[in-house]
Amino acid sequence: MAIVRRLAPSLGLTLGGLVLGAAASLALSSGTLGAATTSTPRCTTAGLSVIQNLSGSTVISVTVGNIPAACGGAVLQAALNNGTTNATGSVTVAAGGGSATVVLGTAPARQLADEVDLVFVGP
Amino acid sequence: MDLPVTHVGPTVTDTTTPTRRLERLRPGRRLVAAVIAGVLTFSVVYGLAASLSLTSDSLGAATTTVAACQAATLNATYTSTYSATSPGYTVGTVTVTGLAATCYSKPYKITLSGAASASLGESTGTTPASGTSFSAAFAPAVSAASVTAVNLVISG
Repeated sequence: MAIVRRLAPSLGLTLGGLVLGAAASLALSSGTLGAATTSTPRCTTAGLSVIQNLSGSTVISVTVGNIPAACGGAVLQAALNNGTTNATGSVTVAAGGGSATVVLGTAPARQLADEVDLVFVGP
Repeated sequence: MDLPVTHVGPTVTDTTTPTRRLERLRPGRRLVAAVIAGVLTFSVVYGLAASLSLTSDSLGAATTTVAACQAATLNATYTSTYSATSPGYTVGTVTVTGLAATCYSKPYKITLSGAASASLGESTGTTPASGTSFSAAFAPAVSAASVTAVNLVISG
C-alpha cells in the first residue's frame, strides 16, 4: 500500500498525459474522389483507300476501302472540302469492315485538288 | 550573555541522533542552523527556476479513406464535327455513360489529352441529379485526330 501511495501522483500525471495526447488528434472526414484515364483507341492505323464518286462535275459520295474488321459497327464520317465549300455525310460500317460509301449531304463541284477528312466513331 | 566555550579534552564520538544534536545547540546556534537550512532550501528552488521554458505549436494528425463515388465502369463516347477551319474533324462533346446514383450532383472535370499526355482541352461541370449519362462540351473543339486519351475526375 505504501508503494501505491508513493506511485499514485506519478500514475496520475501519466494518465493525464495520455488524455492530453488523445486530445491532440484531429477529426477528419473526406468527400469522394474518383479519377480515371483511358486511352482512346484507334480501330485502324492502316492506310485506307478513298474514291470520290462523281455525278457530272460534282462529288456526290466518297467510298472508303480497306476498312479492317475492328472498325465494324463504327460510324464513318467523311467530309469533302474543295477549297470553296464542303460537304459531309456518315454511314455505319458493316461488321467485318471492307468498304463503305458515304453519301454527301450536298454535292460540291469537283476540283483538281479536294481534301477528304475521315473519322471513325465508336462502337 | 553566553560566553564562547572551548572544548578541551579527548575527542569523543557523538552517537546521538541529529534531532538530539539540534536540541543540544544553544538558541543562537539554532537560529544560525535554521538560516543555513533556509538558504539551502531556497537554493534548490532557485535551481528549479533555472529549468528551460518550452512551448509548442499545435500538432494534430488523422487519416481517413478517400473513396470513389462508384465502382462501376464509366464509358466515354465522342461527338465529332467537321471543321473547315481546322480543317478536319473535331470533338466538341464527350458523353459519359454508366453514371451511378452515388455520383449524382458532384463536380467533374474531363480532359482530352494527346501526345505525351498533353492536355488538348478541358470541360468542367456537375453531374446530373438523375439519369445514367451526362455530356461535357469542349470549346473550342479538340482535333479528333490528336486525341489519344480521355481523363475523368469526379469529386465531392
